[in-house]
Amino acid sequence: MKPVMVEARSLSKRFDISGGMFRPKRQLRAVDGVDLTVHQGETFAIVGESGCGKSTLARLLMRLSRPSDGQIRIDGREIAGIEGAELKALRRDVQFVFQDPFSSLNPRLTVARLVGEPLETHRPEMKANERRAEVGRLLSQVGLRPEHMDRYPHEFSGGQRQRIGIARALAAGPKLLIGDEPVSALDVSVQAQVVNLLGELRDRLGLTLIIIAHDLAIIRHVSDRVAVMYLGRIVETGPTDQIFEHPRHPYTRALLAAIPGPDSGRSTGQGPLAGETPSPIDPPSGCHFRTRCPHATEICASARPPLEDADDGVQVACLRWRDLPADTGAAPAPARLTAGAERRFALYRQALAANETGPNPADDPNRTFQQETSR
Amino acid sequence: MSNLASDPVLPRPQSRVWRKFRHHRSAMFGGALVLIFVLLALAAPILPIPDPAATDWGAIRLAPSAAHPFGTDEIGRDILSRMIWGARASLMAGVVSVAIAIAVGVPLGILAGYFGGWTDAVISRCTEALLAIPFLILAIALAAFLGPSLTNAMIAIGIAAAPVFIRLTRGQAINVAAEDYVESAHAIGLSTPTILSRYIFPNVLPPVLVQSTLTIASAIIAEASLSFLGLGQQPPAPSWGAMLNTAKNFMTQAPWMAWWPGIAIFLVVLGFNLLGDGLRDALDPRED
Repeated sequence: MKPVMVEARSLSKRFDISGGMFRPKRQLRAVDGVDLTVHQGETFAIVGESGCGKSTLARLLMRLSRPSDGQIRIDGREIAGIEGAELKALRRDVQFVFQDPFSSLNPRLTVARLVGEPLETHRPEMKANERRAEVGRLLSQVGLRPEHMDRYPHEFSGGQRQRIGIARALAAGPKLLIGDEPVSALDVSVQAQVVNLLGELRDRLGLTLIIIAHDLAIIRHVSDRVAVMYLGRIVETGPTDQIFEHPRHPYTRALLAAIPGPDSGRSTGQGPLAGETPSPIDPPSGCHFRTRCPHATEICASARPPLEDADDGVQVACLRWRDLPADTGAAPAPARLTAGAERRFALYRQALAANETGPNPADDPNRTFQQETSR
Repeated sequence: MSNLASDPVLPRPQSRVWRKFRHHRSAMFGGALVLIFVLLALAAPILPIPDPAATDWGAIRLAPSAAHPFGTDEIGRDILSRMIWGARASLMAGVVSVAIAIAVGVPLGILAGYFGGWTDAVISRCTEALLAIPFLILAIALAAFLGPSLTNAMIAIGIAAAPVFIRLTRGQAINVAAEDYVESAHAIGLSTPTILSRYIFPNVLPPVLVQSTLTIASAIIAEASLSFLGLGQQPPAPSWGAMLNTAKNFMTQAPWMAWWPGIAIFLVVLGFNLLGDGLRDALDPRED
């Protein structure tokens, strides 16, 4: 087993909601007793619907907000309550890639300043010309031209801006990179590029990645392990293949059943979820999912289901998971693409390979790819 | 080199703000008005005009003529020359007092908006208390307290105008502080002073810029009012407000004494207002 990079124990974040002058104060439990372990060098994905607390969890792990309860250890160091110099040291080791590349870069700073800032902060001994050289190196590492470093963010496209954001995150030399939906704001054609870039950087720099996402296809493509969140709690976690092929928790099954596509309908009799996610201010007792769960019984209301070990490294938080009909085989393996998609990817790879020697590296693969997809 | 960003970098766009501003006719007109007065004021020492303080007992309250195009005042001074030298006092009062208002208001507004909580409560309540007093009354009270001189008048106007900037900056700072890029600054580990100066300050400036051109106009009127009341520019140095003050005694005998400073104040204030409106439209990303 690889050494542990991130370990969170009963991590919680509550927000006070002022109820108004004569109403009692209430609390919103955005993250409600989350346990998770991420190993060094792996890609760990956190998935769930919007409002399930996954972004709050990411901000807690990053210590952009302070947990109400629980412990976080990163690389063996307790970080739940640190401040000042210790927090600054954490910023060197843990970095963040934001969701929206249009709003996460200060519009009044040049790319050289944006990417140079972490160097300025964490390596103050560096001279200005060394810093420029380092910024250039970081930019080419993420696939941008160093010549463009004196331009402003608005002169770049979405994908390029996200690369600037990644270069900025890498500048401090982090061990752990947390991405809060790093590609969901990008064009679909660019998403794959950025996702692949992140994977490539992970391997090259020995990073650990935590990716927050709601797009299951991307998660399946990039991650080693997955945690599924519902209303502030982790309901199922384990190796990605296990979760996708043998989902045990009814919520995970519902999520997978909701993937659109020509052949993704599952024969488990589980249709799409009915109803809305309950409010995290006033969640159902016991299992949070019981109000929407087709398999719920009275016992589900009685107690919070613990995260139990199932087989194959999977943990599941459901009192009845052993009794449920197995969900196997019917799952299409999205790794196996349709013939058309396979052909497009083959062309894309071919173009990329040609481009290693080709004269015009920037435009060529993309054009081939687009022409093919537009048919 | 696999995985290179594939789309070309967008061409460097010509400044959208400047393009919109250039096509804004009234803004360009306002800018031209302001520019003419600024140039006249700057050129005052080299223009072939009489000394604004030179009296001539043989030419008292003369109507406009070839020798004195704007006429003369009650002790025979050339009004055109006093108008041009007076432009210096008026424009300087406008610019300097707004600079004081910005220097006081913007930092306080940023602190209130960024930190919130008690800092905000204290700053905002004080601001509201000051805003409750009408601008001119406050300026008059402060100028009377500080003593009559142009410098004190500018300080008084600056302080009286500061609350507007505190409020504006506070609101803007609250918006900017919620932006992702400020969170990214926290994630990098930047210190709070760096975040305030590099992330908050430059991004709250555009509306402050618009407000300052509009406030320069009211500051010029305020300086004229203070001088009219004897609390601003002291005689014999000329200022439009002080000139109006003396002119009011001779409204029937020598109405031209009041015309010129009145027209000049009107035009400069109009110029700054049009300029400010145009800037606001040009900086507004919603209308194109």
